[in-house]
Amino acid sequence: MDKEIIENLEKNDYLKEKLSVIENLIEKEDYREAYYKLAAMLEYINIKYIKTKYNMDMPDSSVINILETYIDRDKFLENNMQVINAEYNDVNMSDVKIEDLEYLAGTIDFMYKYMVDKVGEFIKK
Amino acid sequence: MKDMNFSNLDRAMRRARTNKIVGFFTRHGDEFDLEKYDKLDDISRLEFIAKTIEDIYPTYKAQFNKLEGRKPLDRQVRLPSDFNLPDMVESAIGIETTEKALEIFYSNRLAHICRDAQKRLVYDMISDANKRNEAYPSLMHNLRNKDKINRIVLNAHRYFVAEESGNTKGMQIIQRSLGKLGISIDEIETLRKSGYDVLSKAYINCMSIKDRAIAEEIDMLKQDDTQSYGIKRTKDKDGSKNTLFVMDVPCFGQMSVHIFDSRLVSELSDHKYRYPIYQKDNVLLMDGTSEYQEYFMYVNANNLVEALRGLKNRQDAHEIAVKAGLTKDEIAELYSKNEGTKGDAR
Repeated sequence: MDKEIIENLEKNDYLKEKLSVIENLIEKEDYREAYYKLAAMLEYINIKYIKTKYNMDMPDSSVINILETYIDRDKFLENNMQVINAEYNDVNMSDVKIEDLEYLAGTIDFMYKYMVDKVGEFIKK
Repeated sequence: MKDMNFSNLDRAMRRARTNKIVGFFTRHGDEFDLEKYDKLDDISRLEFIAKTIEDIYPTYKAQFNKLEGRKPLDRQVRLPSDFNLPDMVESAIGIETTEKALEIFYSNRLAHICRDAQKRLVYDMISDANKRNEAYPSLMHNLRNKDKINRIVLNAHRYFVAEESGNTKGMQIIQRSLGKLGISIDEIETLRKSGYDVLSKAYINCMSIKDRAIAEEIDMLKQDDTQSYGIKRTKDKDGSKNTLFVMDVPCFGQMSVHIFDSRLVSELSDHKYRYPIYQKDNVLLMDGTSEYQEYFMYVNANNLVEALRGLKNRQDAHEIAVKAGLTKDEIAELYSKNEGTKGDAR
């Protein structure tokens, strides 16, 4: 995956480590597993951000519950979680393509940068 | 008289239908934004969705009749001539899990109406380009390559979504992907002029409405131990695997929609749906019945399960059981074996 796509995520040591696992999966062309790992990373980033920003725990961290949390609090993140929700509806998990991975990674990177700009670095190794 | 060109006529009608959908969402799309939508109560939401489908997709009746027309006459559900969706959904009012099921089913339908309209826009744009490039075969797209067309549809959608969010990097990634598929920036602009971006926004909103309604429905069903529902994994002919949320909606029929959120899927891990999917291509989730189904409903309720157990066709039996409003346990009875007898062959 092009480094430019994940430039912000790679600035965080913890996420960089996780990304290297994903990169390995991509090299092995296990795109499906790489996609699941990226989705898990997005969930983790949201849980951490919501705890930092709103001091809320997320025992139910489904996409919809994360999206609900942002309604009335953050329009930008609400919209982007809606995008992610539609994306999960669109991707054929039996035939994940590299462009699916790149788009998801780019969107996560975009959201993560926004979060860091809001509250500073919120994921510690 | 010059022969009428039905192919062109069909295309003109298709374009008019697509324009109607785009026009509707251009004027009313913001009413599907979650914040606005949330201001409506549950009944108004349902009525709003039903009215939207009635306005922008009136051909659902013809599609329904076409599907029913494949069945023997007495097994066809006939729509009354004055049938309309907003009136029909009223019969669900007051039954919360049924209201929610209709919200899931019809918001999902709306999302797919938007996606189908996007496909038509791409298809029309590419066939126009092919006509212009007839002298240059290498520039022409193969319209029969469905996988490629679907990739164009999805990536064009992503492009406008990224643009709407201000995600310029996302736009660049997608522009590259579209370039590899032979779609230029000028063609993306052609799609924008046709209203593709409006459909993207509507698609996203409808999918959010659907998935949120699924989460709410699962919570309600877990509190109510009388209804039959669960998760079912299926495989398409091409080998693609699907995960479906299936619910037997009493009197309305079986509802099945794709479910993708891994958290929601794992919430249902102990609720496997073990019955057959009796209608994959259902256009309407409604409380109408065929003559054949009605015949069973005259049977005393106590004897209905026994009567249905006598049917060879499990899908027919299941459909009648749901239309008759049987509970989860009564439906399970259909599939249980009789002690001391040969048991139900199913």
